[in-house]
Amino acid sequence: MAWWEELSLGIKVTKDAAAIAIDASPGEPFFTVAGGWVRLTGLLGYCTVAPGANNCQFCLAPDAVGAAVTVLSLAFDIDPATEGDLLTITGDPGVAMVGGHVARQQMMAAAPAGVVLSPGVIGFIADAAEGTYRWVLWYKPIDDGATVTVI
Amino acid sequence: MAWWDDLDLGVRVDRPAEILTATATPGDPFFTISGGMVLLTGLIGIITTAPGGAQTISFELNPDVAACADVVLCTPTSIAAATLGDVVTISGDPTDPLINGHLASNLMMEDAPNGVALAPGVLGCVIVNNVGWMRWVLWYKPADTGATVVLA
Repeated sequence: MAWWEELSLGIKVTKDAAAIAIDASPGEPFFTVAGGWVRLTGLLGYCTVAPGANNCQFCLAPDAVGAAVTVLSLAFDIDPATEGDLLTITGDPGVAMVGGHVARQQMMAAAPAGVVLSPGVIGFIADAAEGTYRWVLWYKPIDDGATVTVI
Repeated sequence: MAWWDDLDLGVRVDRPAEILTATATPGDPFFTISGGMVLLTGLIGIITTAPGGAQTISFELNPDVAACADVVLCTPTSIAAATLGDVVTISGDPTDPLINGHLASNLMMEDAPNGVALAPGVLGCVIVNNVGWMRWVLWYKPADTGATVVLA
């Protein structure tokens, strides 16, 4: 790992705007964590097409056999959002995603040092095919060679 | 973005001292965010001439996208007690008032140590009266490649 990957929020990974599809747990695969543990330091969604009612949340489906799917946030209805609004997580898995009709969000307020993730797939759970978002994720490798890539 | 833009609080933008001019929501345009989302990592104001009377200020973002709503970065608060050299700032929690008082020190972004994500738009200062002079320093990091904050 290069030293500059430890700067600020770490390495940025972007996911192009895509319509949200209905996906039950463990969700539509968005990002792959591979090669070891990482610290998730930021996860930000930008609404490009306003949704209707749609309860959404992030989870991690670990690679390890026997490991349980774990949520990164509780479900949140993104319905009030319009184009240009922002959606994120606090870092506390017991708290809903943070969204609404707002173009401003605190970044990882409950986990400023990040959320540790094992290798696996970060998925997006949605109960309706409503809304289009693009995403920006930041991470720092804990294990040498650990990466997060867009799916 | 250069790698050094990611160091510490990121890129700094200075707004020279000027009189606070009464401006209703969404406020006197202070900074313009363009080219994508940014992370606001710091915002401080320094009193250069004491208000010497009633004055209340707060910050709002007026997003560029027409469908978006104006959103507050803090709630309004009185800076009447502030004198030359005092410092005001925001906690990062939009439900908190601007942090102020007759104080020359303040915590920086205590409720948003990783910053506050902002969509493109204009960051305005909502000001109630025409009293007091202040200069401002803002720090940010681009969230989208090419995103910038400049003086409005």
